[in-house]
Amino acid sequence: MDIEIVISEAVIVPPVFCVNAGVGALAEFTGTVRGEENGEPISALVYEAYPAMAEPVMRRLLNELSTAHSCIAVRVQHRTGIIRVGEAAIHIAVRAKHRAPAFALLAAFMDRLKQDVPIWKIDTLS
Amino acid sequence: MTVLYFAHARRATGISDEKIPLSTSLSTTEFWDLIVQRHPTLEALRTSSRLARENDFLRADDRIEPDHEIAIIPPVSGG
Repeated sequence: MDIEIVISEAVIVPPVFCVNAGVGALAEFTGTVRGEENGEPISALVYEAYPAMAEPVMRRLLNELSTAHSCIAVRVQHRTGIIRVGEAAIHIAVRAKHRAPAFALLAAFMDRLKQDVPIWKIDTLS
Repeated sequence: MTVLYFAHARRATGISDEKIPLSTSLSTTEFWDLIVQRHPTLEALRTSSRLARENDFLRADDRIEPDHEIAIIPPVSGG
């Protein structure tokens, strides 16, 4: 499975994919910053990453998950720094032959990311 | 050894990293005892944080050697 991972402060602009003949499914997820955190209104979240560990951990998780959910390619972009309400903190695109493994890998990866990938929401801005 | 502090651990210590001379290896429990002695504010993160080295989380029975670089990983919250 091809894996591309980007961790940076750059604004996330979901790319437009050229889907090749072997791909029957393109599943995408965009996680955005809500206007509230713990019941309080906010204007932004501040994210911090340990990139030297986050990138290889993500890659390892995706390779593990691909054994159960066979996909063709995954692209993950996680933003750090100040992310304002409505902006994307993460975008994931999974390409697969069929939709079932694409959905399954995407959902399983998000669950594992929230357990094991060293990225943190470290602050809220009101 | 070198210790890296991220997120809430960095805030608790006020530093992002430090070198601590060791003359012998440490258990993970001994590591935490030493770190909390130096930075008492880390006590609140001790039970919830994990230790990592070379991109892997340490197991409770791993040893920490004088030349290791150890990252303190508070509970993550990405995505």
